[in-house]
Amino acid sequence: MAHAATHDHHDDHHGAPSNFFVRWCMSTNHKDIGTLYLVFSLLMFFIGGSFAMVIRAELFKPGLQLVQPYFFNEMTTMHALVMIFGAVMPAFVGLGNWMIPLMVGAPDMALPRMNNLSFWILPFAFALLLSTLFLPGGGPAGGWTMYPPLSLQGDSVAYLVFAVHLMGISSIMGAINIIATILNMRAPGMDLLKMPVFVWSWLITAFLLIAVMPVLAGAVTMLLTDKYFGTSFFNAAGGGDPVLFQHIFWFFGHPEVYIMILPAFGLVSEIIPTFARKPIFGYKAMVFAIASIAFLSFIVWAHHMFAVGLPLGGEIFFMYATMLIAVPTGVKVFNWVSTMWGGSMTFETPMLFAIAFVILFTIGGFSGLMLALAPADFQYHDSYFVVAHFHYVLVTGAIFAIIAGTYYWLPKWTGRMYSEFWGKMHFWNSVIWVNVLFFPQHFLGLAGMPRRIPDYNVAFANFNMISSIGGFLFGASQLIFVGVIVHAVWFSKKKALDRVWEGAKGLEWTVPSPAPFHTFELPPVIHDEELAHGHVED
Amino acid sequence: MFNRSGLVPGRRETSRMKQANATIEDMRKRGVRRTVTVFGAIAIAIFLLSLLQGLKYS
Repeated sequence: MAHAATHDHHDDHHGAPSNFFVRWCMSTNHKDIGTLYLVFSLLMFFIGGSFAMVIRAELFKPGLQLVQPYFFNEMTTMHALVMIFGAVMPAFVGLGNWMIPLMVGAPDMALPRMNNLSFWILPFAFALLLSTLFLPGGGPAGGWTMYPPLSLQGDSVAYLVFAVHLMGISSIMGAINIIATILNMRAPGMDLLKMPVFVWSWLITAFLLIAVMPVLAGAVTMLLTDKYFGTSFFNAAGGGDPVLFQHIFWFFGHPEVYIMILPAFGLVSEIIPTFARKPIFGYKAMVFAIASIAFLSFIVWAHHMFAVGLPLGGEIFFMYATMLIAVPTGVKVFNWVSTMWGGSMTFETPMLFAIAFVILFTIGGFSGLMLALAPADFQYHDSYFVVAHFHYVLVTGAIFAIIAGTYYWLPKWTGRMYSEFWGKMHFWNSVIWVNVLFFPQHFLGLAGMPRRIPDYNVAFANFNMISSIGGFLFGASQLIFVGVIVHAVWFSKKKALDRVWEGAKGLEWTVPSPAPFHTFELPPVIHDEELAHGHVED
Repeated sequence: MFNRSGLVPGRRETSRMKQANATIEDMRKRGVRRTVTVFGAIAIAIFLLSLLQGLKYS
């Protein structure tokens, strides 16, 4: 390929600092910063996961077993905050950092120094947040949604608000960087409608981030002033309105859900065509579906508030608007299935996780449709049915996609193949235990078990025990993932080819494995037939 | 910023390549600056608007 000529193996690692501190703390290289994001998110995944283990251990049997109720509430709150802002979002930013410049033929991100700052804010934000668990008065315990007046009762409000501000600044800077990279740094010939779907999904996600993270910043700033400066934004006694917070929060919160799932759509749209050895079915439809979902995400926020006492017209509007999201989402699911249809499929680990994503995310989508029905939501609201729903979307959706993406590109990053046997062990253990963990929670919710409680009626005992066993084993299964990564990075003897997977197309597969420290220093010459979406006509 | 001129030390370049890269580099710099300004301003404006919403309805 002509564009591969831009690489000279002699110069592959030119510029990589040998000093550990300089390389990793002062890096402006998109690959190193991507690695930092991914390692950070894996660490947060295990910290957030350990909080989940505390929750499932407490719920193993009815009655208070291990922890005090306040600590239990801290665990539910911190589990969500750490998993959302510390694990899932940084993982996608890490994948984007690593792969977007490689996929569009750019030498690096548009703003490399800001990229470094975006990452290095995060460890401080989470140190601040997690430190509250060790301070007198404890950590935030009012739920990740931070509804006042409950969330204002603790002593850690300032820590929480400052941590959220830092995470928000990091996300906004990261989003601006990604937009600037995609809009300005693409190699000549890489038209917008020739970009990989993953790049498209990140471009749209970055727009969402810029639109909603400042809204979260505004909401928590008002919480802060209500707590410490005597304002009454959300204090009814002072003329404020606590429901106003819910509106502002969910105006951020619902697009946030799509921030966590749109890049997952992009990842799966890369992986399925590779292992089906067919171009993605309906490339343009996939891109427009992502854009439609992003648009709709701004006009559905109050479906989280059906039980709060909305006017009937509002309930009907938000119910129908929410159900409308099923249309572009359905387009995507049908297109993934159509891509696989008639393909020469093989089932390597990334493909297994991608197929599990399609099936299990669809289950989460269907339970979401059930929750979208306003009259039914009065029954489901604040029950374990909601917990089951969003864990199907976020664990078997977002996290499975992140794992799939990691297996897919790990050989490109390390230059070595991972162990397919242990990858498949990881997959089968994950897919079995995650269903044992979350599927019974549908039944618990329908039977009336509320979420965020440390104790429950004995009638819910059996399903809770099954769910906890699934939780412990799902958590333990993730240790296999770490083992596979450690093996691939340091011990694997099997070298990866430049084009790691037979059916893979796109610029990232034209660079050597492992990807050199600097790539595409000269803009690559792009041949349409070598791109996954080089010939888009309809 | 790292060297984005397309030159790896020791590699020869033609004057045409140098010229083309300089033009692309200029356009990119301008584009990046414009993108950052526009989206940074949008982010700040949305933050202020959300505070104004709070003031309006409380």
